[in-house]
Amino acid sequence: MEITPPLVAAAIASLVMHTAVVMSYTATEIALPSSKGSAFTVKIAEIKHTIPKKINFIPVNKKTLPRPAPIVKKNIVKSTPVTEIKKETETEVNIKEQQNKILAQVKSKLIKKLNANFSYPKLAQRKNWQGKVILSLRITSLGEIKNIELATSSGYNVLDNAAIASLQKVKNLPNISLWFNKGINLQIPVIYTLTES
Amino acid sequence: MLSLKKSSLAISLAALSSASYAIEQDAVIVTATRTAQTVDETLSSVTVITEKQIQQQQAHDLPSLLTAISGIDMSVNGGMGKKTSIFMRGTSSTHLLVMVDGIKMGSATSGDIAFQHIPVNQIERIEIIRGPRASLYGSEAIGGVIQIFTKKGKAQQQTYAEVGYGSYATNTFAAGISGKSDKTSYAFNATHLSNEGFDAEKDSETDLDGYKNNSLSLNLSHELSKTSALAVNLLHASGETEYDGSYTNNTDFLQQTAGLQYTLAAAQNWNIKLNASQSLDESDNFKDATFKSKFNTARDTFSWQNDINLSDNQLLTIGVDYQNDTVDSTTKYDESSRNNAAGFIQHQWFGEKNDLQISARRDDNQAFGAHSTGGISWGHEFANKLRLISSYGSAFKAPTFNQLYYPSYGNSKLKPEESKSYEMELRKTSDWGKWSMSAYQTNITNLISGNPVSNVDKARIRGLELRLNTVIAGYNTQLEVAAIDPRDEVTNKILQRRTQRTAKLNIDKEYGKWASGMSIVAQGKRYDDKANEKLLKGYTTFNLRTRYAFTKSFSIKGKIENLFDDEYETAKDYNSPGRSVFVTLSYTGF
Repeated sequence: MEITPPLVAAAIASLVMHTAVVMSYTATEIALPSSKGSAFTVKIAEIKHTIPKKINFIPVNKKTLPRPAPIVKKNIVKSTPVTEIKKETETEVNIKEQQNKILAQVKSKLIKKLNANFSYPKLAQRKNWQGKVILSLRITSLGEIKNIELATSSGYNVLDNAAIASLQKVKNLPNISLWFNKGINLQIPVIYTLTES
Repeated sequence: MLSLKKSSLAISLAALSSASYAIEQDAVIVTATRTAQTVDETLSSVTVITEKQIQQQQAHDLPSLLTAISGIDMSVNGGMGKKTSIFMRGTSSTHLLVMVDGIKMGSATSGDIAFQHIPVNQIERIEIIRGPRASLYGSEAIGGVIQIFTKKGKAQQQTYAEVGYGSYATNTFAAGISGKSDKTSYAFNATHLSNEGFDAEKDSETDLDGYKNNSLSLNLSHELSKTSALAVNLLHASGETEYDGSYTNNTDFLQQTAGLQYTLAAAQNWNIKLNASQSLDESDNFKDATFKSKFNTARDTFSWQNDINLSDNQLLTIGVDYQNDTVDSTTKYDESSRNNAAGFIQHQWFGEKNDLQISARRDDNQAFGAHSTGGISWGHEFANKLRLISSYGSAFKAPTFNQLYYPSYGNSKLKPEESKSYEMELRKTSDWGKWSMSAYQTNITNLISGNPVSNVDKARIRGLELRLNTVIAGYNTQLEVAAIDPRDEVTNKILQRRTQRTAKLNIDKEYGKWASGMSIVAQGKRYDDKANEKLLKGYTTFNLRTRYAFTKSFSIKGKIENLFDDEYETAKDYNSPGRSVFVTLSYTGF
């Protein structure tokens, strides 16, 4: 287990700064004190938050970086047939950037919170059960987590219930109110996996 | 300010390229270590040996692999392939339950388990459970359980071949193929091991006592539906072992386990396992080329086990099993078969800070009647991952055919040997590693002894074990220290051939294409006889090992055992291997 909070901090910082259109932070593992007897880690998978593909053209021509918007638009028109993008104005792109920035922020905060609350259910560990649970939820403008529902079952009640219960413990995300006025709906997959020691 | 609509979120979440890709990237991944399958690790003292560790240790036989494990002490009558007795936590060698893929091994006549013949190359995983488990598995599980899992097919197809040579003209060859296609996984492995050996027993015959073992294992598993699967497994080992003796001096042996398993998820919270299996333990014994005796025993078992999760933190295991032992021998036993029917139940509760497990089993044996056993374990978690486990368990050992019916030695009125064990363990996991400390006491009554035999002896074993795992400068370090007091309660003497002080150190490191390691095993003195008059001195063995991978597929590995050529005996007048060197070339294809 590696404890690498600096990596997480750096990742969050880069998200906040948001200088590039493509936001990402690399995979890292956070070791947690377990109350469940055996060691476990919660891995935050690489969060790659990408505005539509076409934006990827920007790094090709570095000179365009300081003033991305018009170039982006031009490139998009040339290279991709996605109609909704064609209509985008500079403002719309900026709004989208903002939206993604917020989304990334929410997710980062959410996953950070989840890290402290998720643990492998003992029964599932004992029985060698693994799987992916997808939860849907709503985050209100006040940062409260609401409407937690099971979107896709892992096939094991125990894992599904554990994921829901863990998320319910989170209750709210502090300091997120500044970024919203309406709240958002999200889907969060939770993957339970067992490794050889 | 901004308002985010669901649609815009959907776009960004899906990241256009691939929806599922985006989901995986944003997932919370909760991991834990895979636990032992045999028992609940949070309530038991368990050591798991993985395939990787088996590779690392470069062991040629099971005894040399197990000798480095905490709680295990053994005596070997003269090297590889010779009679090996394992004393788990000071108990007798017949007080240990050994299963291969869930199938009980052992001879119904002598009660011995042929550890020396179980081919280590066929093994994927070994779970060593210290302490009694009779209330789940029945007879024999007094000192502990060793559960061996043979190699299974994994997702990726893999072939391998290995050839090795070393001291005492030891030759090894192993090859195998495994994989998985759609709903079927398969693994097939074959190995050959032979050596010219050394003289097994001093002052007897002076010839070299060689050994030959050919083995194969087969595992097939097929998913019948989303909720059911069928699996077959086979492990077969046969060969010849030479030794010194005036009545017989070589044996053709056969060890085999074969099983058929059906699993069904009958409901979300109800899993069913049906097993039909057979284990064989056969020997033809010769004096030079003259046939002298035959002992063939077969054990057929049927079992039905249900795992029901009553709630998200309660697991109920309930089942029945039926076992029939048959004997085919040149010796005329009064009975040639017996059966045993049993029912068992176990309830396990996983709390926030406390875990509790209660189990009970009742065996009804054709030879000695009904016998009940039970166990209870409680685990409590303090702050900072400090954990205390307290447990109690009763267990028994059914008398063997030899003890019951061997002409002029057996006693058909024998009762089973019975035990009660108490244990406390403190363990902790920290950033730097983990440690655990166990203290236990086992009282065994009705021990079978004498000639003719009767239930006369009593024993009391007290022990302390300390285990430490950590990484020092990249070196994976494992230190195990044990002190036991295994005492005959009638005579107050130390039990035969048990050592009272043990220290074991294993250090391994991988660096680039290299992997190296060493093991030191230090054992205190022991007495060869019940009267404690024949002393066998303590000894220390140093083993070194290294491996170099030329490519992903080709590697060479070598080991030196007993580096300082220490001469020692674990059974009086039986030789042990001196300094030995082995080299193995291996190829893995993907």
